[in-house]
Amino acid sequence: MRTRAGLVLIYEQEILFQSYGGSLRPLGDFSILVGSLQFHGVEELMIIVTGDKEKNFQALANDLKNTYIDIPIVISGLNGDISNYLAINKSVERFAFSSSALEGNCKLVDRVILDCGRQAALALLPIKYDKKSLIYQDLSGEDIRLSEKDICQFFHKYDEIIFQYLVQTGLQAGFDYEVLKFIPQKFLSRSIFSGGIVQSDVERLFSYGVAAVYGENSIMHGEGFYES
Amino acid sequence: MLSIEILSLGIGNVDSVGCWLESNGYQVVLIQSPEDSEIGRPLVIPGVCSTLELSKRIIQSGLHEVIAEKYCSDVKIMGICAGFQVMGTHTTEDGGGDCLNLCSFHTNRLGKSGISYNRVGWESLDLNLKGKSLRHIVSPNYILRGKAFYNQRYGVEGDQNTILKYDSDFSAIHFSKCFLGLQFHPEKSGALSKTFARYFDEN
Repeated sequence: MRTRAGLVLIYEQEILFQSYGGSLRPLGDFSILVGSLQFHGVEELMIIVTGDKEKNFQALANDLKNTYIDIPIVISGLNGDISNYLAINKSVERFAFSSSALEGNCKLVDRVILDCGRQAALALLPIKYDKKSLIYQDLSGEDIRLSEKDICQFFHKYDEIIFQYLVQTGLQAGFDYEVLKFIPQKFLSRSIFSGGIVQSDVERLFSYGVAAVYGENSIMHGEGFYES
Repeated sequence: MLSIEILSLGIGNVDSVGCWLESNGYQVVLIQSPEDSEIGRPLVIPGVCSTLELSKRIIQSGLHEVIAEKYCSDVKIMGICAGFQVMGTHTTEDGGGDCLNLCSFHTNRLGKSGISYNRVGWESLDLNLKGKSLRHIVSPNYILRGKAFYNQRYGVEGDQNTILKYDSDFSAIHFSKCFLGLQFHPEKSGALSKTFARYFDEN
């Protein structure tokens, strides 16, 4: 069985953070992190770069050049900036686009597909839902409804989609399985889920045939999040 | 310290591969043109790129002749993912086009019965190569055991020198002369990564 138990971290000012109960908890630098990944059985690492993008992408590029990480790395936070992409592109395997994915005409997405192959381009959709549909939550706070047609179009463009359920991100609340109802069955094998995941969710979500499960909380605190 | 060349043409996870090799005790030499290369030095052709784009850049840089000379001279070459595929005759990726034509296989969209699919994730490898064709270049005790990371939409078909297949038709590991082609990413395969780095040590 292919298991892809991943971890979501946030990078800012040369420090890695994890989302924890609605706030960010610092984990330290790369050398601390790398020693822990294998111990915890982490199989993929997604790093979201925030804050001063130019400065932080350059710092992250330096960290990645100096630190060997033996699992695939997904980077998010590019916001269509070619210089940040060029700083990082030789050290990572995949790129996740959020606001650029919604714009639909991002030149950088096409550049990534040309340079790195279509398998390297992912969409990262921070979402919540109501009775009618999934709702994309923009950084500005604007809500954008996602129809089934919208979701199909994302899958047409991107290799996989990361559905980040914001309501429970950083909480040990357990994954909200209602989210799955809004995603066509045929695309579950190309869907990655994140948001409130606890240990029991990992196995249960894989039983639905999902591509991967990303946690964002607890793994560095010895709660036994993943099987190693 | 053994020096290993990495093809660096502005695409692919060159730095990831460099970190992997350096962490296993090798010195890395990035090559962008024929002048950067020495004929006897082993070479890694990284992946994480379009095979057709990689092929174009190799030919534009003149490095196709360097690769051909190393291949014919039995210098060790490791091709990873697209770096494996580019050694074949042609690819259907990005509208299709010619590759380096050093090996007789070709690259095609993954699929069965007309239904295409992607392949991303970890697969178990348990391969005892004792007595297999790799034996003359690696230790008799060379055993691949662990999990390997795949990330692909296209795969190698028609490989007469495959030593491991997946999904019945596609080649996961190719070996001919001293070229080791790997469809998965040895540099991103956790504990198995160290085993693959040993390829460059063995005589």
